[in-house]
Parts: sequence; structure tokens; C-alpha cells
Amino acid sequence: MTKLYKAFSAVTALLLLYGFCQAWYIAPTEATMGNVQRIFYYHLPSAWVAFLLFFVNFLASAWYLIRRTDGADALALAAAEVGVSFCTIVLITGPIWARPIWGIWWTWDARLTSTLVLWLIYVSYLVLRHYATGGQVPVLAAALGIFGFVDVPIVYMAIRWFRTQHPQPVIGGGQGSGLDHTMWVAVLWNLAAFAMLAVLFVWARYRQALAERALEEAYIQAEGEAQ
Amino acid sequence: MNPSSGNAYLYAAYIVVWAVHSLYAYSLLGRARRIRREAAELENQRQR
Repeated sequence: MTKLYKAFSAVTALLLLYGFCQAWYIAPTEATMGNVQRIFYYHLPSAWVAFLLFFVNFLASAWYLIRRTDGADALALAAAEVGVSFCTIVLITGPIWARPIWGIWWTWDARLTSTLVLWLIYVSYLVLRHYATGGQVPVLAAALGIFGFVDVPIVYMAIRWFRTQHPQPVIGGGQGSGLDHTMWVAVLWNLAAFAMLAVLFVWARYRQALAERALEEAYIQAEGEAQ
Repeated sequence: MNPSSGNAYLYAAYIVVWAVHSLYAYSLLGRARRIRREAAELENQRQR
């Protein structure tokens, strides 16, 4: 572990702690939902970070198809894996928040359904990476990463295009939408903290993916020398 | 609505968030250990 990684980890830990204080103690209690609304400060940043990671996967996949570099393939894998973990958080915290507010855990509206489909697309990407064998796997995975990303704008726009149970957008949602300034501050601190956590995870996973590849090649070389 | 009435859901959500991140961090540590072990095995194999 490099000194830079350790320093980045320490800053991230401090930011996460501060983000937690913002969400639990500094942001005001929402008038109609009460304390349960504080789930929002982890739910929304997790969703945005997941979208960002799937975008990184999209770019890295496209780069891999153009240049066929190991680095692009490793970055695509790392971004998808971390993106799935953030998307999992979105899909679990959403229903936990919905139950006391809507009275139901889940409904098949456009936003929730498209988010579930997004999660399934990237889980299938990881399954493909993990279980398929052969030289064409990175190419197939890159194609899936590129076409799978189409669902991200659909998830984002679902609450604008369709009437949904999910609340209307807090950005650009028209009259009556938006957030109190102190709530925005809490959202942005948590967004910064989770984005840095995602960078840490992607950084570690990227290096591991490259190390695994180098190890695999070294094993093949060693076997060749032995024969 | 009583502001504290949803506290159990709030705690559950925060526990889930940290459980998922901790599990992922743990999986990274496990993979790092496996890579180090395999690299050491390869090195031993080469020396023999």
C-alpha cells in the first residue's frame, strides 16, 4: 500500500465521519417524514456514485474495444464491481425508506424497476467476467458494458418521463422541488465522501486486476519453461 | 408524524450501507492476500 493510498484513505475516513455528522446532527429534521428522511443523505449520493462508476465502466469498455489495453479492461472491471456495490445500497436503502413513508417496501414503478434492471445488467457483467472462459471474454464484457450503460439515462429520466411513486427530482424538478440549503450541504459532503471511498475501492481493485493478470501470465511462462 | 417514529428504519439503512461497504473492503483484503500467496508460491516454484 503506497503512502498516497494511505493518505487518501485517511482523508476519506475523515470525510465520511464529517458526512455522517452532517446527515445526523447538522441537517434539519424534515417536517413531514421526520428522522427517517436522513436515509436520503446516503441513498442519493450512493445512486450518483453508482451512475458515475457505470459511466467510467462505459468509457473504459469503449477504450478497451479501441485500443485493447489491459489497463482499460481492468478499470472497466473495477468500476463495474464497485458500482454494483453502490447500486446494491441504493436498492436496499430505498425500500427501507419507502416502508414507513409509502407503506410498502416496493412498487414496480419506472424508477425502481429501471434501477433493478440496471443492477441486474451489471451483476450479469460481473458473472460473465467471473465464470466465462476464453480470450473473447473481455470483448464481450466491454460490449455489455457499453450497451448496459444505456439504462443509466433511463433510470435518471424515469421520474421525468413517467408518473412514478418515487419522488420528483430535487434538481431541475420544476416548481416546488428542491432542497433546503443545509440539506444540500449534507448531500454534497456525503457525495464527496462516497466518491472518495469509490475511488479508493476502484484504485485497489484496478491494481488487483492487473496483478492477477500478470500472475496468470507468469504462471503460463513458468509452465512453458518447465516443459 | 413523530420525528423519531422512523428511527428503526434509519438505523437499519445505515447499518446496511456500512455492512455492504465493509463486506466489499473485506473481499478486497481477501483477494490481496490470495494474490500475495500465489505470487510467493510461484516464486518458490521458480527457485526449485
